[in-house]
Amino acid sequence: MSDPMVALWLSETPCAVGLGEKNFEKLASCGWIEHFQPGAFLAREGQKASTFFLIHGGSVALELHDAATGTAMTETLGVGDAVGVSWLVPPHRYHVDVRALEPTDVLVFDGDRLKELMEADADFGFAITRRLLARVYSRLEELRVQRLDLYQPAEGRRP
Amino acid sequence: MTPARTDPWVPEPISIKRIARESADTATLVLDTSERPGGFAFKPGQFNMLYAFGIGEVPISISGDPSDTGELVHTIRVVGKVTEALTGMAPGSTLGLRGPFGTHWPLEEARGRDVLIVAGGLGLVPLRPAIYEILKNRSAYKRVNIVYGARTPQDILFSNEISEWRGRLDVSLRVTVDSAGSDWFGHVGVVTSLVKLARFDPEATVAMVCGPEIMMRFAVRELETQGIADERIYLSTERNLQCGVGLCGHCQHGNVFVCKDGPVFRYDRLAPFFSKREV
Repeated sequence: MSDPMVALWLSETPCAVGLGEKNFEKLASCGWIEHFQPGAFLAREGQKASTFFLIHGGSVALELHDAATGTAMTETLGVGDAVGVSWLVPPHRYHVDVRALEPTDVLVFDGDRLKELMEADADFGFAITRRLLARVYSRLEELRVQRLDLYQPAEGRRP
Repeated sequence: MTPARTDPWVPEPISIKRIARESADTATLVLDTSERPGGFAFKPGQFNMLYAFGIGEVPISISGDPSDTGELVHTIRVVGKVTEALTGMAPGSTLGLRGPFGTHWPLEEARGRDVLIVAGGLGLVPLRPAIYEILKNRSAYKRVNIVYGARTPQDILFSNEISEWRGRLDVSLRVTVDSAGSDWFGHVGVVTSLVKLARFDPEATVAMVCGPEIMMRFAVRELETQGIADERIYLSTERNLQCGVGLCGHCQHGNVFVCKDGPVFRYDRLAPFFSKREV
């Protein structure tokens, strides 16, 4: 049985749309609520990735740190966005730092438990994978555009 | 008083009143049109041909307030010899002016509707006069959303005005950058990701989009995904504009002349060839 507040927050995310009652309940049963203060890290690069997050309120930055050039913010994510697919993909380690930019409320999901449920129930597994894939695809499209460095004059752009 | 020129081929000498640096490679020139009979009237979205004497002529969008006819404002990025010369001029210098040319943003059609403005990089320049007009007649429009994408926080144009517009309770303005350091507290990502966050009625929204062509293609796709019909999406395009009056053919894009039929087009007119690499 899922936490009623988790179920309420989950129902407000795009991830819940069309999920169906049974799958919704399964997903909700793997989640809990956490709050992060500005500057707090939800995940650190290299750390074992056993969770993923759905942002309910606030926003986070995905960052890569380089000792020579400092910290680069590659993307920010906000309400309704899913953060993290590393829990599903080997080697199951976060590839970026995820830092709260403001007071941020998230649904945190236990990736190990979720994987078990997905493997045991192909319908549930497909429903979750399809949602994550849609989000990953949309971010890939955005990153393709971002990579082109479009706002530079044409001759200064990357090929 | 110097009479206003009527021959579109003849540049009119006009003096620079002041220059403001917007970013490392972009400057705003304020031209003095107060001595011109009637000042300088134009519609938001139109452009002028600016001539650096002895060097060359370039098309530049008008970025100022259409209701202020005593000044003509152009924001110029250095991309070549002519723009370098124009932005390097001192106040009091004279340049040549032809215009205004081209079509304008559909501000009349947008009345009574939600407005969504999508600007990328220098694309904010031709949209700024439209924003002035909309804000001046704010009650004529329903929800006003402005989304703007820049390369980095340092490349954000008109940052003082953006802060001012952002502070208004009757406008939703979101800014994103492609990359930033950890001292940036705003959004990082492509401008199309902000379209998803804007609140508007897709059935009653007029979208005005300007930026690099690839950005506009992705923006149109996102606007269509959000339910805005092609007939209510307007783009300002850029081509090799030279004569300004549809005679030389340098700016031909498919079956249209961008200088005369554009630069502002309704998307359904451009759609058949907008993403064709051969055109």
